[in-house]
Amino acid sequence: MSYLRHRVLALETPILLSLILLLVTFVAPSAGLSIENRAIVMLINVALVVGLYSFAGLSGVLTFGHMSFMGIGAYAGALVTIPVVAKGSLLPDLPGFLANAEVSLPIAILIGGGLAALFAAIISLPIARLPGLALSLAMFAVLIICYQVEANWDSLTRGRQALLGVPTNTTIWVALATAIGAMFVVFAYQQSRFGLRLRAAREDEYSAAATGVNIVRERRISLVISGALIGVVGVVYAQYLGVFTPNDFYLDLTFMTIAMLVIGGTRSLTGAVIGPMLVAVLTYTLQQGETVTGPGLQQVGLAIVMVLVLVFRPSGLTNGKELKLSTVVTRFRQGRADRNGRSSETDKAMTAVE
Amino acid sequence: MLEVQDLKVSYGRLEAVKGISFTINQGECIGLIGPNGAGKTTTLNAIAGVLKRSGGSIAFEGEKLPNQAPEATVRRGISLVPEGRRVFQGLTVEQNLRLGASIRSDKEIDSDIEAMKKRFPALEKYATTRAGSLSGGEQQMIALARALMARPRLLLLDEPSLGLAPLIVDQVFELVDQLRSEGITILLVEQNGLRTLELADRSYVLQGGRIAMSATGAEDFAEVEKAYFGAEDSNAVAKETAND
Repeated sequence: MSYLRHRVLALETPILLSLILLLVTFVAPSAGLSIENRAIVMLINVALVVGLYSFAGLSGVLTFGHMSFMGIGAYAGALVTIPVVAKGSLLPDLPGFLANAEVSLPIAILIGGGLAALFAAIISLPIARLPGLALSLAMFAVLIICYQVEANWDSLTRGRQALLGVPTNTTIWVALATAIGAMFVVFAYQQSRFGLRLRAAREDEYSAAATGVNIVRERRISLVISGALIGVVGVVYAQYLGVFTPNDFYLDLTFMTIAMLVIGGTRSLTGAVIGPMLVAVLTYTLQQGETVTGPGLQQVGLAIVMVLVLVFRPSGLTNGKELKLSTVVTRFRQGRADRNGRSSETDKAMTAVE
Repeated sequence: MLEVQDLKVSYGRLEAVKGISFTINQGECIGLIGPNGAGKTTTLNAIAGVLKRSGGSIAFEGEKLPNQAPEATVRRGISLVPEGRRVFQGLTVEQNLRLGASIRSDKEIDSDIEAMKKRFPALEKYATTRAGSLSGGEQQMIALARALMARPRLLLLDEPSLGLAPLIVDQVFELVDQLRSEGITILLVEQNGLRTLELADRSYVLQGGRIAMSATGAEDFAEVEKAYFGAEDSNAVAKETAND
């Protein structure tokens, strides 16, 4: 029993976060279709930003190119799920093996995630060697390349025209499962020795190297894991949209996901989950405001919030802390002890992080 | 055990270490002393593989060490305790220790962590606390314990007493002495010349990237001091030439 309790406590953070998302999933549909759709997009964004966090957050190197994995996942997933009949008219020049492929969503997820992971592994060979800013910019270059390929490979993607006929398999429960799955995978990675080494390099590259951490290898592993996750999210997102273009995985999304991560906090999984949730509420509110101000308020408002967070709370709203009941309880007890006029001996315990 | 032959290290066009040779035997504690900018830390970093050497060779236990390959160097049994501690501030004390065992995959890592906590009681007390929130002395203990987690045979210590209260400095030197008696070979870089001369089996005085003299004990201190002053003079000359 105590073993079970220990295991549950070790997974406290993703369990609590899952419960919050579960609550959203239960409540949202009762508020109407529009809110349900927003909840689906929010859940997908949680999975997406958690995937982004598994590289950018844990390594401390911001990336402007991870949405390329999403595009790869989306197109790969769509091409193997669009009904064969529809493909005949939509994409007449498709190679035979793709033209005749029609698989279920789980298989599509495996294919999309696997292909994105493979792509991440290949580009990681040169890119993981680059130092901080160069890596960020190289990833941006990867994004541009992927976008141009998607926008011009007409026989495979229909180019700039929308790809239609993608089966809409993504219900709110599929989105929830994707978000929860991503959270547990990334949490396990973060707590593993691989994740620990990557975080060590984030804290101090010199010390990490001197301790024997192979920083390039750890970044490579992280690129593949984040690539696979974001590829999977791409498949799921495409099956929500049903119709999409290369623009859906380009600059707007790159900016949005980075803003979500920065607002929530780049240094904790909780931040990567809370960020998209807050941004969802914020964009909804701003969109309501757009009826008065005209279009653009949403983007401007989000950018302003991001700047405010960067100025007043540079490590994001969660400030590197994970959501934990034990921390809340400790804080509560300390508050009570302080009120009783006792000096707090729990000062150092409060800074406990894990 | 360690053989450094004509070691040269450059930062761009500036040659910081200009051909240093020395040997360390199994079980010895060797001191490297000298003023700021003498090349002590650079030498240590080159041995640890964190810095690239531009010339010369380093052999450990009879085998040449690859150039600038810190992971391989740690695997061979050489661990560095960096100047200024440089613990992983945002990670817990225990995570810092676990990271010290990055190159290991055996089953004794957990028991080694427990052993370190017994050895350094502060680490036990603050095991789940962020390392960055501890005092300088405690962080020095973390840095040492982290390096020991790799089970090194040669320990490179870079100014372990820097910025610590005198009482803590005593503890650090005691600890170094203890580690030596446990059979760990030690290369100690220090500005605290006298303490190092007292502790080390042999010390080298570095000056302007070269070994100016070697000393064996506190009785050589007067001579060592002279070498120090010599270094300051040559620094002054270097500054003047730079200004020109």
